[in-house]
Amino acid sequence: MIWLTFLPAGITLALGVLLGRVGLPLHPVWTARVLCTVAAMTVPAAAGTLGFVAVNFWATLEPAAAGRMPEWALFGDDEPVPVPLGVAAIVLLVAGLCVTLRLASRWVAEVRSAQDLAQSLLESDVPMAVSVPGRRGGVLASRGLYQVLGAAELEVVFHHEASHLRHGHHRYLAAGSLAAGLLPPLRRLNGRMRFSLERWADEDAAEAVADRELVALTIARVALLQPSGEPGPLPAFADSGILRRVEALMARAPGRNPVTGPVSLLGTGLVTGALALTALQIDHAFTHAFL
Amino acid sequence: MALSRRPLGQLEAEVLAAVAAGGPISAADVVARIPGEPAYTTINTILFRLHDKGMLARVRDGRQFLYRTAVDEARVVADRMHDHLRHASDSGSVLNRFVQSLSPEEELELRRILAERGAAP
Repeated sequence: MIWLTFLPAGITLALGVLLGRVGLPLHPVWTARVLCTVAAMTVPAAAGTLGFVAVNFWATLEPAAAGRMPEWALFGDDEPVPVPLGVAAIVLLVAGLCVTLRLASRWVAEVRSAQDLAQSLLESDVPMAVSVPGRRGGVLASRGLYQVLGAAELEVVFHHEASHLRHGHHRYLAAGSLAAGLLPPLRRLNGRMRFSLERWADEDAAEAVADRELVALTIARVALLQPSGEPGPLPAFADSGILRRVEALMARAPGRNPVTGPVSLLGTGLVTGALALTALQIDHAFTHAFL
Repeated sequence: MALSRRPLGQLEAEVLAAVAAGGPISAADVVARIPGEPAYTTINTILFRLHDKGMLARVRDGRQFLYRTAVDEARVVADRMHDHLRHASDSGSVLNRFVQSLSPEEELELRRILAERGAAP
């Protein structure tokens, strides 16, 4: 039953696409965690499924070698894997590996150059702040930021960036962009997760300075001082999310979901985790090893 | 031959340096100042491109243009750094930038919100 092979990865991917379209009624802290879990679990589920198909395709071509392979790595039946399917699985695996390597090298280069810049004040009149992960990291701020913001507003920016660093948001970003890079249908999930990470840091900053409106106004001011018409990554979406961030801060603080948050996260983690393990054939391996 | 192997960015930087040292300067004079006998057309193209990027200003002098730098060096370095971080926060990055650039519609809406609150942008 070859189509069952695709079920775990299919369900996980469908969940990811759904969560990319429908907003979760949770505090950004929990939204980010749930979305990141789904993104992070879809990758092994998809890779495991493709790997499984590729291995079985190879076993079809080389029946002699297949005899020496552990039984759990093969389909239960002797039905050969159709050639187009097998070739597609191998091509997709190789492509996925290339995307992973390209993204990883991009991150290393990006973080390294940002770490070098973070050693001093950024000599730019554009007000900006970037959180740079790592031991040599920190909050990278530009001269322009100090020029236009007052002490209270600067505090907002630093609380916001410090929240990114404290909660290791770069790991979420890495998981999300890897998932979106490997599985294009998850791009919206990644976008939504990135937005909830910003909201998370905004809420942390608002709590630290105990003034939601100050945070909203700081974001608005700094955003309006960005050079306009910059051919950045924006035009594709035409929505930086800044307006929604400002509006969310002008409204009342969202509930912290002390129960629904952890329950949603745990539920998502268990379901997607189990699906990923199934896709990786871990359950079969376990059965064959111990039962 | 040696010239064609030079990375374009380097040649650009050399042209920029030649103009900064000798400007206002004509394309032919820039060619003379750059080691390795670059082709006139190559240099002319680079000058045009640097002018397009707003890094060089030019005035017409008879049948040719005279170039001078439009921005001081510090500004160029700063812009390059800014360029470097511009893609922080795009969908494949692991860096978090405080805010990204706005779309024109967002800018209008944001100004309206600020005006409502009586805050100066």
